Amino acid sequence: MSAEQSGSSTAVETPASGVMERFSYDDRIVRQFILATLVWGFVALLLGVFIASQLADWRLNFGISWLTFGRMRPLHTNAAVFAFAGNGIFAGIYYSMQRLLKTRMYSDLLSKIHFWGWQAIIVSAAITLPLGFTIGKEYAELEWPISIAITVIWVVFAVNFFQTIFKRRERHIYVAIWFYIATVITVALLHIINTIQVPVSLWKSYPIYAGVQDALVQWWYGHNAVAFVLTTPFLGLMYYFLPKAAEKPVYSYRLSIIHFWSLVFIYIWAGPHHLLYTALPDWAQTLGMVFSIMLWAPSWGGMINGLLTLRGAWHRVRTEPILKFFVAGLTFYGMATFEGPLLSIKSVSGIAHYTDWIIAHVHGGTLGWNGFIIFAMVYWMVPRLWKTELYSVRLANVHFWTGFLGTLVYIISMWVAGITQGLMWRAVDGTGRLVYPDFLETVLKIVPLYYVRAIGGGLYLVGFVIMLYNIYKTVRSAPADLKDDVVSAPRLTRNTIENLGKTPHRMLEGLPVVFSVLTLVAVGVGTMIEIVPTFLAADYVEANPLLKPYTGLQLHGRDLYVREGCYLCHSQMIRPIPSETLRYGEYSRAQESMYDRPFQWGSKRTGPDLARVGGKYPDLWHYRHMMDPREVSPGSIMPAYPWMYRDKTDFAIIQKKLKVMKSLGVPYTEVEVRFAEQQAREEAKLIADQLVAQGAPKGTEEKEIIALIAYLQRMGQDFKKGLIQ
Amino acid sequence: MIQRVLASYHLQGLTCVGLLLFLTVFVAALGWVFRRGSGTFYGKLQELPLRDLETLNPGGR
Ligand code: HEC
Repeated sequence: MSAEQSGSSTAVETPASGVMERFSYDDRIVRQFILATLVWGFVALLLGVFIASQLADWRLNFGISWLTFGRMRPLHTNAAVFAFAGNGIFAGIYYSMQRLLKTRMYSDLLSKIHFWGWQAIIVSAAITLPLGFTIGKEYAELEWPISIAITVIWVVFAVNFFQTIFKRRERHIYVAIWFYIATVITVALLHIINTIQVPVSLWKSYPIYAGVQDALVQWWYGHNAVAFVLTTPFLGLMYYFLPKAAEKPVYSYRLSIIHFWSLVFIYIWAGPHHLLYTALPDWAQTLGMVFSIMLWAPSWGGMINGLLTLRGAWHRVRTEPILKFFVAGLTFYGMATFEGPLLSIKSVSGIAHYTDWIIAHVHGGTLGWNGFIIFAMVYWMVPRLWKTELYSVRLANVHFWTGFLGTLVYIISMWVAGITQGLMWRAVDGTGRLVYPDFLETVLKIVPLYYVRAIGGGLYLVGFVIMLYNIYKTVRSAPADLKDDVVSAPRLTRNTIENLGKTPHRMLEGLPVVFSVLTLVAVGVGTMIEIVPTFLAADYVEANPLLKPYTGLQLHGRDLYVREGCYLCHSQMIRPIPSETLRYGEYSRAQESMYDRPFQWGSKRTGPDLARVGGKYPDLWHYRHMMDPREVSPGSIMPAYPWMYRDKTDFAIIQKKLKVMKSLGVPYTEVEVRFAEQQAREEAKLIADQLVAQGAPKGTEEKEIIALIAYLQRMGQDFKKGLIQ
Repeated sequence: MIQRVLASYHLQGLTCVGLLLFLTVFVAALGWVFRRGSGTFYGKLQELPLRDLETLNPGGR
């Protein structure tokens, strides 16, 4: 292997520009990330179509635990965000940063560890999520061992990334790199703060935050995962690949800088718009709403800058699929970032929240913006990296139109479903009664749209498969020996850097370090102002001596609720909206979830809110409902949970759980912890005996369903008993 | 509806602080990008993605 291929560079003295250095780019790693993007993209989309179909027809849950909606949905979102978009981002970053900085990556070894480490994390997610190992917080589901692995691999990437910047041969750092830096720093911050957990066992842990605090931290994280995984890196990629494809420089460099700082500063505050009308303190809701509305401006700054980059090249959009993907992608970005601020207005959120409107919004962003930018990038890079021509431009155009149509069908069907259901929920007649008191009626109304949505997703998947075929044929036509490109550039010396007194090395490090610190300050300020007061304020987390924490059995049942992903269809947060208190009872108070780790307020109501379901039905109702929801709620689309009637409760672990909870400040007594298992068994026996009296079969006291019922019947009871005001 | 929208706009202290901070950042960024002589500099930066190095090995594109 020659020096160039192994990554080291050779120097040649030339009179004109000082020391010329020959080196090569590491394109192999880019090719690997592209292939991973394609593989995981297929998996993510297939899972998406699958769970969409499950909502259309419950039978597709097959009564198999690891295939049910509640376990598949986190797998779909994780695959889409971290596997498909994640690998796509890495491919684009590794390709563009080497060229923009005129250097090979700092370390081939670190690149390899990053690549294989990331794939290993994805595979472990694909195994553990279906098994029900989950933290129970959206987009942060992966249990603590995987969560730690993510941190380690991210640090590997960060070291490689910053060292590459430090050894660059181009003095100036292009704006795309700024966007990447913001991504690398902020994702680390978000991930670490949100997933601090205390382990109970290898695959079970509890967050250190509870209730309101957990909710705020989670949505601070959740919204910024959208910001710093699905937005900033993609804007960076857009700023590199769009000028490349259009063969024109970006429209306004100044605008790119202003929109960068505004975006990074504002985004971090916007999280609480996920928690409007909840038990989160009012000031935090207002803060989140105001900043979300402001986000509109920088987002459109980016979109306009992108679209205007095509000035004078619009005629090429007609024929070139890559430009088509860019234009449509930017337009979807503009649409989603207009819709987002709109949805953050409290009264709009009042209708839209918990409905499919939010699902429409998210998919406008992911299918339309992230997907299309990745497709554009892949079509652009593959022929160059495999040193050949794209197999078929025509097929790429077909891909574009099927993808575009699929996205539209998806979004429109979910808009209609969301707005329809939102309006039905709040319809109150002249006598002050709900027009649709039966929740299921509002579900059955939109089920046909779930079929339409599945068709939209299916179309998008078909387009993707067409791309897979096109790329496969392209790669097949590549020369057998793909050598890395060898290039040469002058080493940066004191002269080229034009700064007297400092060593070139110091100068190269100085700028990005200052920049990174400024970025950290920009995201840190919002974080501190938003999160710290919530941790200091006492009134909604004040210990209420009347409030007893969950019994061991209830706590275990709650963990089963988390395991099965019930929170993906059920909320536990009644908003202070008249139609809602009519339907579910008094609105939820912050104290009600003060022992909840993780909080389970939910974000989507495919089924009704459960915050006050305790005592609403006899145990037997739940027993029959969980076995087959259709038996008591004809037409229900809720999955059945037959395995909870077979699998035994792990009573032995309950003591450990109480111990960890106690260490986190939950007021369990020593006696309660010591006799946890015995108490739980007694409680289970009591419930099982009552069930038998109501007509259920004997011998269920050791089954998981009993623990789940114990939890369901506890929900909302503290309030009903007047322990909370 | 408009009344409800406005009712939820009671900007409490922290929101004002946030807005002021943002305004500072925004004005600073604006002042920075329009500083004297930045035009030619940004013109150069703008071209960076378009200026690829020439490949020296055969088969490179
Ligand atoms: C695919 C979405 C979905 C999932 C996942 C889901 N449910 Fe449901 N659930 C529904 C729907 C729809 C209804 C309303 C129709 C019915 O009663 O079955 C419902 C109703 C309920 C009700 C009755 C509420 C009431 O007030 O009438 C309970 C209790 C319930 N679900 C518990 C659970 C539990 C526990 C889990 C997790 C093990 C779960 N659900 C998972 C969709 C879901």
